[in-house]
Amino acid sequence: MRLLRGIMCMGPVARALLALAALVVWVGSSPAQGPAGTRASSAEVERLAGTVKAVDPRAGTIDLVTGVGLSLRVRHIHLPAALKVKGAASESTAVALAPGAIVRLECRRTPGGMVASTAELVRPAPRGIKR
Amino acid sequence: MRAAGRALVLISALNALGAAGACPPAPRLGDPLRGLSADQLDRFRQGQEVFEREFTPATGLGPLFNSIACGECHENPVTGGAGDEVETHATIVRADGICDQLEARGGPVFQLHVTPALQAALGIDHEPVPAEATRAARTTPDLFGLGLLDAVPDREILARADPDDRDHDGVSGRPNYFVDGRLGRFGRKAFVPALAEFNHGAFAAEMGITSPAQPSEESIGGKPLPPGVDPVPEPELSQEDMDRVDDFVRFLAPPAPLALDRQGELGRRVFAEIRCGACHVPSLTTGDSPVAALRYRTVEAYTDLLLHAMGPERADICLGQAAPDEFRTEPLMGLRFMPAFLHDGKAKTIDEAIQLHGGEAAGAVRRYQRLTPARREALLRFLKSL
Repeated sequence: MRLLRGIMCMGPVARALLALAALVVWVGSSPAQGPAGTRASSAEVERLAGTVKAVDPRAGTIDLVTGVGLSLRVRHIHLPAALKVKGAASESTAVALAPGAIVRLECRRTPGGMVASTAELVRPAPRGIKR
Repeated sequence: MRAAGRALVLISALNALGAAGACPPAPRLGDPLRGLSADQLDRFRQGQEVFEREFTPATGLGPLFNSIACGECHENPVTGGAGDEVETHATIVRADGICDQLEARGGPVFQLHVTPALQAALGIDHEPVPAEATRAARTTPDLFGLGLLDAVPDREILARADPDDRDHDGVSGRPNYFVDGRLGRFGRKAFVPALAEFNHGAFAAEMGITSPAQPSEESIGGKPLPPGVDPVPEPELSQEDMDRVDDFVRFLAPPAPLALDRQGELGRRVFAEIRCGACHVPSLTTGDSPVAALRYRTVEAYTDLLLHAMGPERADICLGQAAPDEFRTEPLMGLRFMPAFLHDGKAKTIDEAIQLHGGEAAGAVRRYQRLTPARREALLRFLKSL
């Protein structure tokens, strides 16, 4: 019914073009398939993506801004000394994860807090917003 | 010849159908999009119930909040519309140039009300804003047609970005990005990437209602909530209710523009001539979507969903990559229903809103000011048709 209503709203020229298109399909062409996509995520590891707000190299922690919409939160995350930051030019996590950098982390929850098991630099820290 | 004969038969049949049936009228304000399935319509109606539901502390409200229901603010002239409430946002541009959104201190949205329990515990009647922060007033926008803007592909937005003004037209257009690096498009600073996230965040930031997407209450000035002020366990709203609200907002039809008379048609041409459309791009096209009514549609939103500098007089807060003077091009669809104009409601008329544009829009404003009274009136008539 919706298709019929759509056809009714067309002008005569558009209906003629539609008819011709239908004819092409009728005489043997395959209809085009629209793109389709699905997303899947694993719930086994907590994945976080956010902006580094602060780095404490001595404590081996960062504060990461995450959130949804305009409801933002700061997550305190421990970075093991051996953690390598994928995609970073520097081997040093403190240099790679400067305030303003955007990172993806895989974290596990421990009695001592959230501990990163993998880190990927999405975007280095900008020089600051335009002022 | 057989193929030509078939074409003629089809054309005749379809023309007969067109002549026999009437085109369905455009949706009224607050109606769902045309072309939704029965199931989607059912979800729209269920979502409207949650959208209009009034929350109390016993059902999760607060302890900090701006409103007791989505529909308390988004109400004019119908549910999902604009509102006359003005709320407070605040951030700080740090010395190193990074935008501090005051996440750890309750920002960037600072709530104007508290529940009786929190007032009794802390003796406050609103969330305190750090003294050193820059404040911004934010009006309540309408939500009509936002599902279509949500369905516009990133590439269509990014294709119009010209951050370094390489075409030397005085208009740049910069994308903003969320904290996780995704392209933003919702909110006055184009900070939020997706409509569902804007809705989920609004439940937490505007009503203090936690959900699976935002399962934690915000702190107050960096300190956790006092015991006993938040009696409902998290999450306070189910995923199902959140999904229904998303459906309601996503399926709200855009306002149908009024038919234009000759003066309005002239105004549409003036709009193009003085280059308002450099930022207020008349239409965008959606991409693929699981919802047929949102798939490959043209939405006459009059926005490019990019940031533009509006001049130092309009500057307020930073947000993400947005500088204090940068704002997302406000969609003009539904303009005739707005009780006030600009992000802070400072302009009471459309003429005043145009005159208050600065920065990248300065050239367009100069051209507007040079219009003859008749052409200026025509432009305003066109804008009042949106």
